Amino acid sequence: MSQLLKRYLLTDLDRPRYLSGRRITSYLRTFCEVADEVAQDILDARGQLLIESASRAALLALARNANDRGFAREQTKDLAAYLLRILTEKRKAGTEDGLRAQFARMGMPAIEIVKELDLRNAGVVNGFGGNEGFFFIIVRAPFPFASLAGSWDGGGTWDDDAATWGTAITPSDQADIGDVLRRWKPAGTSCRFILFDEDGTTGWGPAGLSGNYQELPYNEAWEYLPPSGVVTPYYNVDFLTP
Amino acid sequence: MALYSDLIGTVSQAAYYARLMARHLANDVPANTWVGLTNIGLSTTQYVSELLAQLRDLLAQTFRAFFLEEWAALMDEAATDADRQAIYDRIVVVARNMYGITAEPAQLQLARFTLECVTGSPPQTFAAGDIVGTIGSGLLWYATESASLQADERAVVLCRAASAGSVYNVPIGTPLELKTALVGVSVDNRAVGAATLLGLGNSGLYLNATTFGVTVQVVNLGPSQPLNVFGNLGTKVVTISLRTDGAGVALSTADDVRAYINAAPVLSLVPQLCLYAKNAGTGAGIMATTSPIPLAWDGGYIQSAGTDPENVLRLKRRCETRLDTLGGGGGGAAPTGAVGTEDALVYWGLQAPAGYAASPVKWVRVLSNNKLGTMSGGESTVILLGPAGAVSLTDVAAVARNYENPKKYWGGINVVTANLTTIFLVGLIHVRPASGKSLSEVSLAVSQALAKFLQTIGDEWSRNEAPIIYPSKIVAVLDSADPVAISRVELTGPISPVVLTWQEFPVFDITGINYTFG
Repeated sequence: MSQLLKRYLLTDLDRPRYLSGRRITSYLRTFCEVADEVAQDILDARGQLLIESASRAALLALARNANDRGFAREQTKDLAAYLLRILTEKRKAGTEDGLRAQFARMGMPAIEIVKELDLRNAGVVNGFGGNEGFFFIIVRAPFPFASLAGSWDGGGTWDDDAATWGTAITPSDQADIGDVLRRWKPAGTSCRFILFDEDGTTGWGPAGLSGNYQELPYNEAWEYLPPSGVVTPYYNVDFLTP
Repeated sequence: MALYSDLIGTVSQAAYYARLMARHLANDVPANTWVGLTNIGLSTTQYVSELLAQLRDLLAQTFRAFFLEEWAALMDEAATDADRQAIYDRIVVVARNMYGITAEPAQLQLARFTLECVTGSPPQTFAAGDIVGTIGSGLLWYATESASLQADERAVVLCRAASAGSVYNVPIGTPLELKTALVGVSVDNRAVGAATLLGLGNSGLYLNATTFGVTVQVVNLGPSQPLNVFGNLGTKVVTISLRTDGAGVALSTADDVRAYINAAPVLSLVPQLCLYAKNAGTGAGIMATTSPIPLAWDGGYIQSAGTDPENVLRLKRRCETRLDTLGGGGGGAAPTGAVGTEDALVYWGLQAPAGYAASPVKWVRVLSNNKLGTMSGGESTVILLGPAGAVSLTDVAAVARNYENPKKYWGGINVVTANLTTIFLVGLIHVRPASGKSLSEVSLAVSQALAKFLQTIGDEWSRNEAPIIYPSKIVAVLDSADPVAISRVELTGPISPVVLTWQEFPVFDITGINYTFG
């Protein structure tokens, strides 16, 4: 706790005799002590404004100052370290490196980004219907989800707010992924789906997708069209089927 | 140790008073014997507790100004206009120092007013500095140019608002009067096109269109022709046929043509297409022939909109998207690549274009893989909303140049204006009689709450969130307009969520909202 005002006014500063008696000193001490609480708040405010000393709540607000965010699974020290290099990170905005860095922050350090151009180069015919800028992401292990049980009756219940079809990918995780895509992919591109590789077998080629995976479709916000606001699926399952 | 959540809150005078009294007792100060209201110890303790509360409030406000997400709430909580201005000034300083962004100041409106001189009136001159105003003691505009009027003629005059602000962007058809009296001359703010230059220098004319889609051509029909100007309502083409000598050499000066157009009778069909002509120079030069030139038309009378000081939500959006413009993967000393995230494109869309004192854009929405509303690989559509709704083609073109030189996007880009879509609110708002509020006071609070809601929608719109407006949210906004006075809201329209199309931005029509006590 700050002793700044108490020390200055009661110790360092010369006082006239009529302000130096025991009772008046006690009276002044009260004011100094409570004023020192305000002084401490000022010092704390300075600390909360600096990344190295800010609390988690302040770090999250500082992240939002930079049009960024934190993630539930991201430790406070990692968030602070990220914000300290925010200019470097922001240079990755709109790049594959940027998306990789953000998925890593969410606990998914091994992702593969497959663009329409990659499909063309690999001999896929009419991948994504020729829509330049379409891409999908394969998330490979490790990832933070405890369970990727992808089959019916895999142990979970349908949409019980904790699990969907038995997987531990929560609605919050899905929202985080959608938010990262919106913030970090280049304008003019569109991620159509995300695959979570269950056992290292997930792949792709001219014949389409293969292996064992769970799939999360993704659409641009503008695709939620009137009158109902329901999206019309478009290459949300694989890159060969509109 | 105080944390973020503690520091954004205030500590009341009563709380400090309680702390001081408790501390007095701990310090053996006989505070429990202070029973008289005039006791010097008691009253100074009250005084000091108020002083500490004020200091703590200043700290909280200063601290919160450093966090973008606190800006709107700070402004809302201001008790007086002076407080609000002080907070705004603090926010502006933070924007400038932390983000290098200067808040856009309020702008003076520039209006195209139409003067009309009735039959039988003497020639009149409306001089620069003459005054137009709303009826009574309302808004005033000063002419920035002069115009001469003959009987039965009209003139379009640029007038600048007497002070800055969006309040001058009055609707078309607002009753106006000349404060500088001219016999037989009236003034109005009908929709009229901005002046379009035809020809150059002393041979040039400025023409104002009466309607959308008008083109003007100047022709030479051969030897010994009289000057003639005629319109075609089907093609919307105005043809100026120049006077010629026997050798077919054109003789009509710009001033000849100007006088002819301004005096053209209705039967010539010219007034229905071209409202007014003005010399670009002296008017002494012979006009040259031209192929059809389109006259400008934006459907309004506002040359440049009056604006209020930049709204904090818009300023916040510009600040937070500033860092996104670093993107593209360049890094170090390398140039950034020609890519931009949606947020980076929002930043450039909100920037004032070259040559503009302030941006004509209020909010920006960026759609990926979208070409004018339909799926299109590798294209982005940028939608611009102006202070009064649609953004003129001229302004759209100017903002589109923000994205070039160097190119700041990947693939293709389409920059267009937004369209306003009216959401008709129908319902009954019940007001508690004991609140002491009149129905008109509650009505005003509702209007203000909906205006604020539109700002929030604008912020969401620019983040490309699915633009759906739910009736339950509208009820919440109406109810919170004055939570003490309003007992309940019966909303009967809309009854289902309103989903906006890609280009739409909402505006609320509240003529269907009624108010009742009880």
